[in-house]
Formats: sequence, C-alpha cells, structure tokens
Amino acid sequence: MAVKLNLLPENFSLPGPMRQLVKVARPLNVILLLLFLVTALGMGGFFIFSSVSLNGLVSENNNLKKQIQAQSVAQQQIVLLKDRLAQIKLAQAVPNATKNLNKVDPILALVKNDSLLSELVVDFQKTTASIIFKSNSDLTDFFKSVSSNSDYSNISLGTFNYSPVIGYQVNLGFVSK
Amino acid sequence: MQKIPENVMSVIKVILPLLAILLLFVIVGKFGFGKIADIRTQISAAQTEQKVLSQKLNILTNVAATGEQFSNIAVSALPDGNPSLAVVSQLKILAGTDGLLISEVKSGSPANDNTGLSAVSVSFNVIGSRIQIESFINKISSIAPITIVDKIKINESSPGSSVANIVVKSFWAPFPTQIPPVSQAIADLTPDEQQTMQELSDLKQPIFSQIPAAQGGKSDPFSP
Repeated sequence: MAVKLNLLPENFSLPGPMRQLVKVARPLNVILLLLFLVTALGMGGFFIFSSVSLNGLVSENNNLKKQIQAQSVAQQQIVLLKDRLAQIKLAQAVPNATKNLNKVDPILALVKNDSLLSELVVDFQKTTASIIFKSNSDLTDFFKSVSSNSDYSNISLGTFNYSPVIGYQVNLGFVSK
Repeated sequence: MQKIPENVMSVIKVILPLLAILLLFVIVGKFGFGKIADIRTQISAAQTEQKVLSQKLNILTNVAATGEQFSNIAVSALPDGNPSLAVVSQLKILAGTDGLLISEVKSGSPANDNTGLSAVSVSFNVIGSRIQIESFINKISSIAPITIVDKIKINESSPGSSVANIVVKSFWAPFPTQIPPVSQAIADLTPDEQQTMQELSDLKQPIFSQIPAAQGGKSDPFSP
C-alpha cells in the first residue's frame, strides 16, 4: 500500500480548493503569457502593415492631387460648363410665344387671300386674332373649318362687326387645351 | 511586522502574475484595437479619396480635350453680361438672310427673371409677308445667346404685307466664382447635359470682330 508523504512544513500546505487553484493557475499563466505575446506581436505587426499601407495611399493621393492641380484649367472649364448648362436649362424652360404661334398657324392658313388678318397677338398664354372677311361665304367657310379644330379647348368670338366698305370683322380668342 | 504565511504567499505568487497578464490583455487590447480601428478608418477614407481623385483626374483629362470649345459654346449661349447687343446683331443677320427688314429696335431695362436669371427684353418691328415673318420667328430659337419670343403682334395691311412687333427675351448669369476643393468629386456631363450641349452646338454663334489693342499709344491723345 502506497504511503503519502508530505515533507513540507505545516505552514506550506494548502487546503484542497486552493491547492487545485494553484495547480491550474501555473500552466494557465504560461499559456496566457504566450497568448498575450502572440496577440501583442500580431497586433503590432498588423499596425505596422496598416501604417505602411496608409502611407502608400496618402503618397498616391498627394500625387493625384498634384496632377489634378495641374489640370486646373480643365477643372475651371467643367465647373463653368456645368453651371452654364444648369442655367441654360432654366432659360429654355421659360414659356415662349412661338409654340402658340405654331399652334394657331393652321387656322390662319384657312384665311383666304382676299380676306385679311388685320391683327394677330400671341404671347405664351393667349392668342387673339382679328380677321376681316370680304364675303359671307369666306366667313362661313372659315368658321366651318375652325369648328372642326381640336387643338383648342375654347375659341371665343369676341366681337363681330359688319361694314359694307370693310366687310365682316371678327375678333377671336384662342384658349389652349 | 507580521510575516505573511508561506501558503498564502505561494497562492499570491501564482495569482498575481495571472492578474497582471489579464490586466495587460485589457490595456493592450483597448489601446491596440483602438489604434488599429483608427488606422483602418484612415485607410478606408484614403481609399475613398483615391477613388474620387482618380475619377476626377480621368474626367479632367477627358474634359481637357474638348472643354474650351464646349465652355465657349455654353458661354456664348448664356453670357455673364447683358447680351442685348449680340441679340440685336444676331436678329439683324437672321432677318437679312430671310430678306426681312428690322426697324425700331429697342432694348429694355435688365430685370431679374422668375428663374433667377437676369433677362433683357428687346423689341423690334419686322416688315415682310406673314409667312416670312413666321418663319423668321421660328428661327429666333436657333441663335446664340439663347433668346425666346415673348410676344408677337402682327398687323397685315394688305395680303402679303405685314408689320410685326416682336418682343424677345434673352438671358445672362454671372460666372461661378469658386471651384470645388481638389478632393471634392466632380461629375462628368450627364446624357441630358450632353444632349443640351449638342443643341447648343447647333446654335448660330454671334459674329464679333476683335479690335486689336493699339501698340504704344500716345500718352496725350491731343498731342500731334
């Protein structure tokens, strides 16, 4: 039968759980120290690698900035061009009278040669026309044609005058759809 | 002084290094990860900046080839000063090619348009047949500086003979005074802007003659 000998003095002996703790803690210390050294070295290496990468990027960026500064004329041109194009879009969007003129043109083409377009006023909002017809038949033909026009929501007859000398004078107002 | 018992000392000798290592883990972890996170953020920012700068340089290199021509066309379409003289000149040239006569040209006072642009109105009379006048009016949109027809009043005195009073409006805007910082991205022309540029290229450009500066002028203009 094996005999358990304890040659240590009494004050060196540890109670059961403490002895277990000391037994585990010693190798744990070594493992943790090694793990710490590996982690610290890894982090240090990664930091150095990252620093080198950052320096490389900063250097490349500085080089690019120099090249861009050398292209300052081109930069001014594109800034100017972009600004002009944005403003030109605004100018092109301003309503104009040409559209209304082109719209009323097919109706005015119905005015025969012996009739007279005494006045035509066109702006971007409205169109008014004053037409003199020499004969009743010209007037009737004109109104027949106008009534079939579908470009306008409303064509109003402002005034209608007849004079044996001048003929039939009508004032028309055109309201777009 | 009371001596620490040997068994307690042996526990301390084991536990103390363990605590020290754990403390080192915490300190190095906190400091190291902080530094690494910081440098990764800087790398990420530098990579983004590099992308922006490369793209910008690429755009500028392309612009350098056509930029001057394009910006001249755009400036001609929308100058930085009152364009009424150029508009009048353009209208006269346009009327001349159509065999029309322009008279009573009047330029209004500059005003700020609703769009935020500065605008000037130019009114004039045109004499010719109504068909010719209408054709002329439709061509006004083809001149530079950009000019729109604001109002038209046509009076026909006899068939084939008309007088039109036309009011046109032209615009200008001051040039930008600042260019963006070097590291700020710029965008290339969008397809819509390229389309507008194409339309502007087709506009009839104003003809101006430049008077060369006199060489070594007299200090006293009244001296013989």
